[in-house]
Amino acid sequence: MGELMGKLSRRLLYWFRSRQLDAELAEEMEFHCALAARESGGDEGASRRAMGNLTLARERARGVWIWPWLESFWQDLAYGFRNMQRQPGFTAVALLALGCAIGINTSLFTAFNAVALRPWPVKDPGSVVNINQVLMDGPRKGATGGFSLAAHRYLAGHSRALSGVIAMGNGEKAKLGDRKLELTYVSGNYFRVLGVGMARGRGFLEEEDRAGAPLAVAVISHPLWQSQFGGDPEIIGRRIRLDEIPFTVVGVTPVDFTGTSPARNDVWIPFPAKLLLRPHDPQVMRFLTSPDYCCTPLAGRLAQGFTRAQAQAEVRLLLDGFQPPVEHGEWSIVLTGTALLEGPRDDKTKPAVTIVSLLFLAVTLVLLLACANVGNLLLARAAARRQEIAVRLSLGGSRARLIRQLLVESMALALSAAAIGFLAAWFLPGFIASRLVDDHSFRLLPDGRVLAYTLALAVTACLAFGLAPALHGTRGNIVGALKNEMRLTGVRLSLRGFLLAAQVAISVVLLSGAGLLVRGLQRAQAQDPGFQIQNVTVMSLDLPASKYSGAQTKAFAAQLSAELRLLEGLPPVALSMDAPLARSTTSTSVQRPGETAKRGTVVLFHEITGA
Amino acid sequence: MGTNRQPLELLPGTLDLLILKALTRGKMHGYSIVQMLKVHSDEVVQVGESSLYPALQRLLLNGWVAAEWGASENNRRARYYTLTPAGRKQLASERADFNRMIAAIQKVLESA
Repeated sequence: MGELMGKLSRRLLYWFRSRQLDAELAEEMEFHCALAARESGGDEGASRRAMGNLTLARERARGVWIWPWLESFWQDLAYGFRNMQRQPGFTAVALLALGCAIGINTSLFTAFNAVALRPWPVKDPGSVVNINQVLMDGPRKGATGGFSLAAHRYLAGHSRALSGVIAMGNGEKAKLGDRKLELTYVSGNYFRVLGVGMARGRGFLEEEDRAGAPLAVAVISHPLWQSQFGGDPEIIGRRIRLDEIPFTVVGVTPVDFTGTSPARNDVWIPFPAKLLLRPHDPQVMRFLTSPDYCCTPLAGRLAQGFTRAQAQAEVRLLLDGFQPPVEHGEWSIVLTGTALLEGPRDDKTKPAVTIVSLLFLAVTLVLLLACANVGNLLLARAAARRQEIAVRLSLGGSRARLIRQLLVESMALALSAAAIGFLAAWFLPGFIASRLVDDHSFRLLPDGRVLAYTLALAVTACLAFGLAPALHGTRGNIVGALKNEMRLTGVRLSLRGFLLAAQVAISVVLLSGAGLLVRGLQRAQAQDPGFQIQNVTVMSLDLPASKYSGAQTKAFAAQLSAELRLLEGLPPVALSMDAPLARSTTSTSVQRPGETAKRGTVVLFHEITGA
Repeated sequence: MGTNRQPLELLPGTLDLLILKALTRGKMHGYSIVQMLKVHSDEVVQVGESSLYPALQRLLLNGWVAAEWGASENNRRARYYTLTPAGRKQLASERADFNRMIAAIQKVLESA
């Protein structure tokens, strides 16, 4: 076996260095020719003829390394596929089991890849970095915060390590007719720095990003252009009403640009236009200009020749004078790649990592289950093929060669299953996501990374289900097999028993896991939240900020609840910022007198009325 | 019949054995191996490039010889081959097999 490994490693080495080794071989043979020519009296042509065709000789010498190996591999693979055709029943069952298992594995990885591993869909994504403000200590260590727009302007004007710095704020909504759109506020250089080539029109201009002179311009997404405006070719310059305020469409993003936030992005408008959408909010002007405001995410593109570490040091220095976010503690600036997984770990991503790991564990178990299943089938088939194998062994076929052939046959099976799995990864993630959520910005399609993952799965699965039967089937008593004695030996029984036990064990784990999940959901539904949830109806108000100031909103709510109270037969009415048990929360940190900010406790609070 | 002027075909499998044997004298490049086989066999064994280099590559692949570049007598770059310990072992076992086979063939030929 050691000798075999040595040979394999030398062969692999040859693969990697084949160009150099070929050149060496050519040089060596030239040298030989020259010496032979000198011997025969200087006539190089004559000696060359005597030596025969040099190129052919070189081809043959080179062929020693790869050709026989490749050829027999190909033969085995073809034989494997023929075998699959010959036993359609076995093939169908095995492919169904393996294809499903690899399919769900690959689908999960496709989603994971799209959400966590892929950087923003922009030009040269490797040089784009997120600028994070990270809390280094205290009870909320790892929390991230943004910056003020004033800090953004200062950084964009002074940084040399970053060729461009952009700001973006999302999570806001605006109504276009009856449709609620996801709104993203961006700095004027956003599309230029990211290198987004517009499908129609243009990105924003610098003069559209002046706090003192807001302009009503908007860029819309490709899907919105198609669904809301029917792909209107005259869309540029058209007026659309966002929260009843007229905006001019200046551009349409290309179909593969889905935005820089995980949420769906429908419309982008410059930051100062917030003044138009919220004319009654005195905070907006402060937000646009004051340096002691926080929480806008920044990103930048590294300038040619600068590393991320250099840029990080420079940004730290430049933003030193600016106020850190309100929460106390020691903040530091960290530059990370734009893929979600590269970002800092905070309270939101940590539980997600656990959930994703558990999911991967579950689908890996399913794959193992399928492998054990197919392994058992192969074992049964190996029993049926004992005669064929015994004949080949007795004719002098080496055991290693036979094992290799059986493994390559398994590989044919695994590769076919991987093809099915890869196909599933094209449809399944998008289909499931469309049923669960529709406001995400991820392209749930496989790419090169997913393909590599699928192939790796196929190879692993092939070894997992093929190795044991191959080792097993080529062992044992040739004479007995030749006489067609179909006795099951004790060893095989134990291997089958082991595979069966593994199947049962994995099934039990998966079933109990699924059972617990369902029970947990039922429990959560039946749980007593500590207050009466019978006969409580939740109603949410959505007043357009372009029409109502903060005071007007409060007045409206007060008047509404007063009038509701007057209605006959209606139970009491109460107001709250966040509905009970709703997902939204507001938090702050508190300290006892004399306690330092670092040791403070974080509390969640709800704004409510007394009634 | 005058045919002994023509070089003889080698018995299959014996070229590897002869190369391994030649290399027991120390490191050699391909041409000197050919020369040596020619001289020591009274010009009966004449090996062409088209069989020598595939054989050398095969021996390299099996790890029985090692190769390194060096300067030749006339100061050109040449690849020199040496016997590895595994090659020495292989030579011994192949030689024993060969002797047994030759003896057996002789026995059969003389039995009539």
